[in-house]
Amino acid sequence: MLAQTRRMRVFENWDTTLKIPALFLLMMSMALIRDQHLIPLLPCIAAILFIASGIPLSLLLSRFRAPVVFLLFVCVFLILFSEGEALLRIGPVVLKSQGAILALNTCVRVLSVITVGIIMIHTTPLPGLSAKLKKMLIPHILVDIGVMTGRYIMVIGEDYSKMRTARKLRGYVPGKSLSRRFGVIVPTAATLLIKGFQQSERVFNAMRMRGYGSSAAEEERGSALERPSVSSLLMFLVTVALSVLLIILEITVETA
Amino acid sequence: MHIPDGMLPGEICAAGYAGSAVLTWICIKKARSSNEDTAGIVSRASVMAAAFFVVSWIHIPLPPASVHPILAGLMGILLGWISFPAILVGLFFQAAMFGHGGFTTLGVNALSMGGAGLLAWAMYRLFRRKSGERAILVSGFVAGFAGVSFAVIAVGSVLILTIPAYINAGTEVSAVLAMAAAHLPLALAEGVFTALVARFLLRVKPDMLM
Repeated sequence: MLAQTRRMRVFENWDTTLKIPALFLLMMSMALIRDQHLIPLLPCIAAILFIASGIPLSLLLSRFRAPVVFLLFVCVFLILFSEGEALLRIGPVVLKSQGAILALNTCVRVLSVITVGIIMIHTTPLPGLSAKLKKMLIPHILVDIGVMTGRYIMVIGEDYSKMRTARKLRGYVPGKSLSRRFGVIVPTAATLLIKGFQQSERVFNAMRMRGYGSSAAEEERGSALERPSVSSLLMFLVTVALSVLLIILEITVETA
Repeated sequence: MHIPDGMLPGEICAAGYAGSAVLTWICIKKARSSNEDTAGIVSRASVMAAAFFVVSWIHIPLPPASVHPILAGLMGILLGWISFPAILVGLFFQAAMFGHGGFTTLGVNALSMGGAGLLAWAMYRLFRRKSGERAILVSGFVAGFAGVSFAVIAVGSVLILTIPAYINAGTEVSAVLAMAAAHLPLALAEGVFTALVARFLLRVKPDMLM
């Protein structure tokens, strides 16, 4: 447990301004790999990074739930509708060998890239993130929208939770008829939107009063960020080199 | 409906990012030209994106199952040009918090969902020539239906067209059509939901409707 926490800290201490571009580049280069001889490299890279990051396996598996459903549909489509030799015949259904290989490659690639994405997001500390994202040339307006959205999801989510509790306390039992269900869902959704709209007006006034958008306020917010450590720089260089190597390998194999 | 990481080739992901960056810039510029300052854009987009995020937790009954609303149409109606950056940020949070969608595919997902929001807004404006509840019900339904339909066709087309070889063109077209047909009940449910929410807002807070 202590070793896991220590390993996680290594990734957490990796400077965000270097970690996000490096891991994002790695994800993009992994997504580029199509050759089946290079595909086995992807789970190896993902596994090494996963072990090094110290993220709990349960977290990783829980995050696979949503993409696995999507992957299942894609795999069934590929196995059934690909052209080529038949792998297996079950009555009128023919499973194709090339489709099966393609489906396997897709699954391995998707799960590997997702693993790196999970490592990137779960080892990034939130304090000071907005300033670092702005330093990474992400438009300020998008970073500000992101930061405030994150904050208000909690606020409005709590409102929704209170509304649901109040509904239950008043003895509401969801009926089976569609009209009855819509009769409850629509006012709930619309009320949440109205609350959000009113909140946005209050936030707008507060931002204007604090001088949001003026050059003086921007200068004050854009304080100098600390320099990345040598280890951060080293990890960045290794990851970028790995990404470039993957791209070169894919291009070489493809042209060969 | 969100494409996960690793599903699309790197070059398509990069093109998706380039496309959504251009569209975000255009949308913010358009919003600013209609007398909206930066504080207004940030506050409205962020708080409404959060509200939409929470509303998407509510499930619409669609026997025998239930689905969560996509809300691209409703976001288009309520936010207009700002709907695109708001949807972009919302998709980022869905990828980060629940693993729906992905980080490399964020640009492509934003183009399909955000594009759906903008299209829905255009349809809403086209159909809402008259005032009154009937007009809002019709335009709301069209916006909700068009939003889901566009998103499904866009996601389906991108997926099918980027799957390498072994599948002939006829099968690819059939697959996109089959995917659209399978999502028809969802589009209808979203249309009804959008129309009813728009009517509710017209009665209670009409200044929210663009």
